[in-house]
Amino acid sequence: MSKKAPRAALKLHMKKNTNIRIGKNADLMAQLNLLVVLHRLAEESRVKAFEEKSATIKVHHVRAVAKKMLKSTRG
Amino acid sequence: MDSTEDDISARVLLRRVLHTELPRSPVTSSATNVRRSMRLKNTPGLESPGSALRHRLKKKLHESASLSPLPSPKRPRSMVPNTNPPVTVPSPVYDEDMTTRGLLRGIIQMETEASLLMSGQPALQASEPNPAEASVSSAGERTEGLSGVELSDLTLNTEPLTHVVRGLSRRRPQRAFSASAFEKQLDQLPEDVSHVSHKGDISEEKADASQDLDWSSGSKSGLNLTLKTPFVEKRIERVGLQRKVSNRRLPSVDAFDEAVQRCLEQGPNQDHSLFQDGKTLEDSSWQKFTLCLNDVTELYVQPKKDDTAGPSAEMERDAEYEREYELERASEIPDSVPLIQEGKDHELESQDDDEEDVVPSSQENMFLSPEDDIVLAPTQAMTESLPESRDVELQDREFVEEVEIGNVVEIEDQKVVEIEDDSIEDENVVEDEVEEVQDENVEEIEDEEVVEAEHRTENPDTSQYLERITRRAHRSEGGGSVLGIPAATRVTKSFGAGLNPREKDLLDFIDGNRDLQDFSDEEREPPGSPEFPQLHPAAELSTPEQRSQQHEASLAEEDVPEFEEDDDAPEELNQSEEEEELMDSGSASQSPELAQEEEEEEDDDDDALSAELSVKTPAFVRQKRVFTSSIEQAMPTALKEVNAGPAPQVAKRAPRQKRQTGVDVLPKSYVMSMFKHFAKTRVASDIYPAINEILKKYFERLADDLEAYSTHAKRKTIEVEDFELLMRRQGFVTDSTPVNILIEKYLPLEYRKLLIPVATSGNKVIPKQRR
Repeated sequence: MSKKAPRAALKLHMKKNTNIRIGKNADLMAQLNLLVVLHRLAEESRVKAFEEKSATIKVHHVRAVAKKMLKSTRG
Repeated sequence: MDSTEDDISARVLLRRVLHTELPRSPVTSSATNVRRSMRLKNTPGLESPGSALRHRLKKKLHESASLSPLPSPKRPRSMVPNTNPPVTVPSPVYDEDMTTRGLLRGIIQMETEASLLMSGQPALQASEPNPAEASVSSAGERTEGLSGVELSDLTLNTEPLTHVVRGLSRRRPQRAFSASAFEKQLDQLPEDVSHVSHKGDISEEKADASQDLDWSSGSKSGLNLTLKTPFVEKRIERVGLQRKVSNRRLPSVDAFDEAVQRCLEQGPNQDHSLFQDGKTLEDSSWQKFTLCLNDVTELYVQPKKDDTAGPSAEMERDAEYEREYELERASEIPDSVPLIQEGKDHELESQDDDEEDVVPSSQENMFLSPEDDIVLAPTQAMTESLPESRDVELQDREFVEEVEIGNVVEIEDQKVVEIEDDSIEDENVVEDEVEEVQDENVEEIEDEEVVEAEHRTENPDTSQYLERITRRAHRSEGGGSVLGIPAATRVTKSFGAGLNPREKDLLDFIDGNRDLQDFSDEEREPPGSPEFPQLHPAAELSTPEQRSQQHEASLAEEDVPEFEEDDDAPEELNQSEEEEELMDSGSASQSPELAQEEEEEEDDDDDALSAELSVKTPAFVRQKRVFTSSIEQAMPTALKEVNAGPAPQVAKRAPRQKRQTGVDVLPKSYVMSMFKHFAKTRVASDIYPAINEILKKYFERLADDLEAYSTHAKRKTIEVEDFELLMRRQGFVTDSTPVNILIEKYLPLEYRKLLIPVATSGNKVIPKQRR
């Protein structure tokens, strides 16, 4: 959990297509956001995996959840 | 007596009285007092010099007064009592002395004595009471009566004074000695402590001792002039102040070179970890190889240069070098070096030739100190200019030469050396072409000639330089060697190339250098191999024998990628063989061989170009060569890719190029760890790509949203508040779960601090809140 967050990569992502600038600690927020989203994604996929009675999370579990997730975290 | 009874005059009466009373010592307070005082004074020790003197004087007076000299004047005390009774006659005298007249006389006398003897000090008195008394007594003997006394007094005064003075004279210097000696003794605790403490009594002894001390300690006192240096004294005392020659052991030149090499390599190797191993190996080998003549200064320069030349610099230089090379070869050496380096770093940047050059140069640069870079630069240039010319022969030769000569930090030297080496090698080589090529190169390049002349002299330097270059070449080759060609082989190839196309030259050079290096360096493994991780296997085979084999193999391999001409392979092989054979100095043979091969290969290459190339920088060539060789091995058609990075560089570049198209989302390790943590159950490892895709889409959307928020706020930068709004809209943050909670929950401490304002003492809030 307390791993070094790739701030640079995040920043890169956020500035991919636009020339907009990123605030000072905004990438930290992006990190936070990413974590939260990832967390939610993992939760959902775990639940999905349970549904299929598999202890491990498989790819299809995640995929199935992903679309719903993207829709929900649209903002 | 007069008959007149009646007319007894007073005088007569007085006379009678005197006569009658004479025998009796009149009891006078003064007399008694004197006696008492005498006793009192005499009993105790010398109360004071003045008093002692007075006593002495009085004794003398008594003695002188009495016709019979008093025995044993040594005992003033004893004498005093003795003198008292017998001095009935003189008692009156004494009494008289005690009387006003006597007192006056005594005072006069004593004052003089005292004054004279005051400086004498009690020590003197103590030490010379006897002699003084003796003198006094003697003086007293001589004198008779008051007059005699007076005279005696004078004499007494004088004699004892003289004695005293003498004593003083003796004492004073002694005292001085003692003082100085005492000081010295104080300083020198162990010595002469016993005597120093004593004063006047032992003045003589002290004097001697002090003198001794002085002598031993370098006599501070002026009296004792010794030649001893004060250091003797200080030696014991203050060790820290001693002038000690630092026991630094001068590092041997070789050792120093090694160290420098290592440092250099480590510096530029930051980016290319792969090279490090090779570099270090090479360095060590280099070190051993390098002749003792290597300039130490150069070594110094190298580290600096290396430090300054970072990978970025390399990259920049490489690019520059590549462009410039075609224009100017010789002058580009310095540029080439950076170019070479750059080339290494950027596969794509360089053209086919450039890449090769770049790769080898960069690689080489990485290893070599700035000098190396410089050397490489020309090679790069050379290689660039001769894309087709794979004959790195010259270059290789140069490298080899350099290797032989030693690591010459300066590129120029390298070039020159290389040229010389090549020329030398060429000479050795039977092939005329090679020689011609070399000669041409030599001719074209003025430096070469100079180098030749200097070659011998600069052997150590150049060798070092060469070593460096070769190392670079190897390194660059290493990239190429990833393809499997041992560095050595490449080197040989490079040698063969000689004046041939730059690439060839580079490769050959690199290979040749390597070979040369190997040859020259007993222990050196193919520079390329150690340099390039790819070449490692090759490097391992670094024995000269293996090298030769490798050369052949590498040549073959290198030739393939480097020289799309098939001739190269056999040529190179031959070259390698030839090189080995011909390597008189190790490198020389290689170079000619390579040169030969390269020459043959250099059908298309211009001699001038090749010459220039070879002359310029072996490293440059090497890089090219390595690059080409690597390319040949890995991708016969894709020279560019090879150029991307010989050895490790190549390896890096190749994947880098491919990967560039791909999007690097977040690092896999990070993502997977996070996911696994959150999932709390086992997670399939192949999930990562899926997650990647999801995240990619998410990020895109995220960026758009945030941009919209900022624009809405009429801002041009995405701020934290934008994110807060986003999270709220996403549903992560509600009225009940403030953002800060989330922050604390997820982010590590450092980040938390940055986001959440914390109040600290002094009415400060961290981070600063700007309102």
